[in-house]
Amino acid sequence: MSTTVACSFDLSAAGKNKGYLIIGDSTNNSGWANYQVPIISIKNGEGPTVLVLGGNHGDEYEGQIAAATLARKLEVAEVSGRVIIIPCLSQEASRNGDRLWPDGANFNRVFPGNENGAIHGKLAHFMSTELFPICDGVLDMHSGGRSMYFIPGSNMTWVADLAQRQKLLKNMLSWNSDFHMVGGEQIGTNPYSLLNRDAERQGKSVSTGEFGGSGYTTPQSLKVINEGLANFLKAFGVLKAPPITRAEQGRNLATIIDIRDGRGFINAPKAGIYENLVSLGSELAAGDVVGQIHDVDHPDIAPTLVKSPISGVAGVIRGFPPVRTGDCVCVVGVKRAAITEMD
Amino acid sequence: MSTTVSASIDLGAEGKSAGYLVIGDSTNNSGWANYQVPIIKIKNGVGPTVLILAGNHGDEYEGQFAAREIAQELEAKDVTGRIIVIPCLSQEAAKAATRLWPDGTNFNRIFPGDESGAVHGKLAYYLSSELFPIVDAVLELHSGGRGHYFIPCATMVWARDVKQRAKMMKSMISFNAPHQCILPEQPGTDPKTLLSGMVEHLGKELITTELGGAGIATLETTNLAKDGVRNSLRYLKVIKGDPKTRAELGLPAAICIDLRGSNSYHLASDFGVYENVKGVGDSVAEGEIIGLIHNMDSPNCQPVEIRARQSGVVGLMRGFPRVTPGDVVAVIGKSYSAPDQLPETVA
Repeated sequence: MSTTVACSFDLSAAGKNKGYLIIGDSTNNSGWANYQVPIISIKNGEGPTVLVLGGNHGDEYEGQIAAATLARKLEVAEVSGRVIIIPCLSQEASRNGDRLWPDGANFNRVFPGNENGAIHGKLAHFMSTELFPICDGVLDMHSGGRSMYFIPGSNMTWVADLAQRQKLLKNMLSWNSDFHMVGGEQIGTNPYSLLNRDAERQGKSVSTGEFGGSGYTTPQSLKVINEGLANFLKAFGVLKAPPITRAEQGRNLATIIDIRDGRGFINAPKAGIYENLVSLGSELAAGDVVGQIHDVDHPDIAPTLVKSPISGVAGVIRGFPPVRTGDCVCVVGVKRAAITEMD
Repeated sequence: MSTTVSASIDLGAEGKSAGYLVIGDSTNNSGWANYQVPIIKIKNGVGPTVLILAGNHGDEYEGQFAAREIAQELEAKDVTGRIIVIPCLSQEAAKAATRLWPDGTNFNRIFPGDESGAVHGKLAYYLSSELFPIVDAVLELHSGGRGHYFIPCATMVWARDVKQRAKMMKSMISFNAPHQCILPEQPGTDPKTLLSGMVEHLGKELITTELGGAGIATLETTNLAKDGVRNSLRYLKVIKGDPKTRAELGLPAAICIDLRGSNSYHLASDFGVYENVKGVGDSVAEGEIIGLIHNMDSPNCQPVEIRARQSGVVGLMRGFPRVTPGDVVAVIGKSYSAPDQLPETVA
């Protein structure tokens, strides 16, 4: 229960309703202000409730556009249950073209939130205490943002709990993307400070994806996310139309990129300007060069080569070329022809 | 003649040497400072002098990578004449991944420069007064930067002089890019304030490009830059070997897009998040929706539609999605099989 955030309309009302999450705010220019986060609910009859989220990180526009497009196009009659959509969680960051909020907060590290904290803390607390509890499914749509470019596709964390893992897997595959990434727990991160893990902790059926990046969208990346989102909602049973599988579409099995081996997260060994020397999807042997870092202050220093410590396929390349030591420049994972090859 | 910028290497000496353009500077942290811009010169015997420039805008990296690699790999014995390379003109902007210098200066609008001005003004002045006069040709490598994604292409501004134009076409074709884009004089801009405009004003041969953008340089766009520069250097006869045509390389014929018309440019009419409904290379009909501006502040989710003002092929789409009214979101033009097929003028 949040005393600092309220929805401007009744989320349990039937039909298509639009309004705002209203968050108590106070700025140098406005006392007693309302900070407003647009929210849309489409409810019809009995069925599950699914929460569709974009803009967890501000510079990841694919999910924001897909969520706003769904909110516009989805008719009440198509729904069986309830779809709640927040097209952009981190409005301030999105406006600035940034990953983080202006105060440096990473919205995907503030869960379970803070009822009496900053705007983002209050919002996370409302989601954790009021929104997630009324949902069956939670979708958190990401992309590489400005710094990275991911092969567009849905993904999952390879959690220890087998029943939970099966749910994540089924959800991931229902996006029908050509590639899926399966990762381990994020290094140096409390997993429950993440939005998706907070929802999982509450027993919700969660799905996530990385649909491109580099701070721009293309018709190709938006096709993957828009079609995937629609098929996910059908497979979840919140839309009346039946889902379709890749096989039924006449497409081959999706490729799984297994990025659980932490060595595949390649970090810049020094600061400079990073040049990608592999394409997304490139097959690599251990020791192959993935990129090079240029020392732009000097005319005669050869670039520092960055190599992959493992064999696999490049699932993520660098967007924003300036790098600091330790920045992630490439992610290499093991290609799996099927999920049954994972262990 | 510049009294405020000098090269730390003798640009007239035989052989390969690397050093800096040294620009007098004074900052809050350093009085009597030297601002250093890396420069590489490779000279061997008699032949043309070609200047390779990248990083005019800081967030356009494809050309910077190509310039650095070519400066690194070329030895004096490969060269007939002289190649001078400045891999990054706007260092401060490149480090910050911005188009402009930290003080908001667009390096491509300050020519002929200012001998006693800021660092960028001094640099532009040195280029105009000392470097351009000693070169025969300039390769200037751009891309869309963070704001735009250009179909990777070589470009030229349509010159009125027919002989001059024919020469420019040949130079442009030598880059072997899969597309060529013909640009108008830039609206609202004095052409001589542009680096390229200054080069042309001095009667030098010029090859320009737009090699992708959106602030990401992929292997594909970077390789296009590298291969293109090498082929153009052969075409200019400053490195050994014959230039190859796309056909000789087994590549499909290039497509030329005419972006001169007043209906080519498409502007954002509102604030919001711009969605590229059509991407670069897509064919569109006049009136077709090419993009949507989403108002993320409203739950109504009714985007503003941007429609094609003319039929043609999309040559440029939006990179950074947050737009303000007047931002360019797309450039569309009719496509041709070769630049000499274009009409003399377009409306």
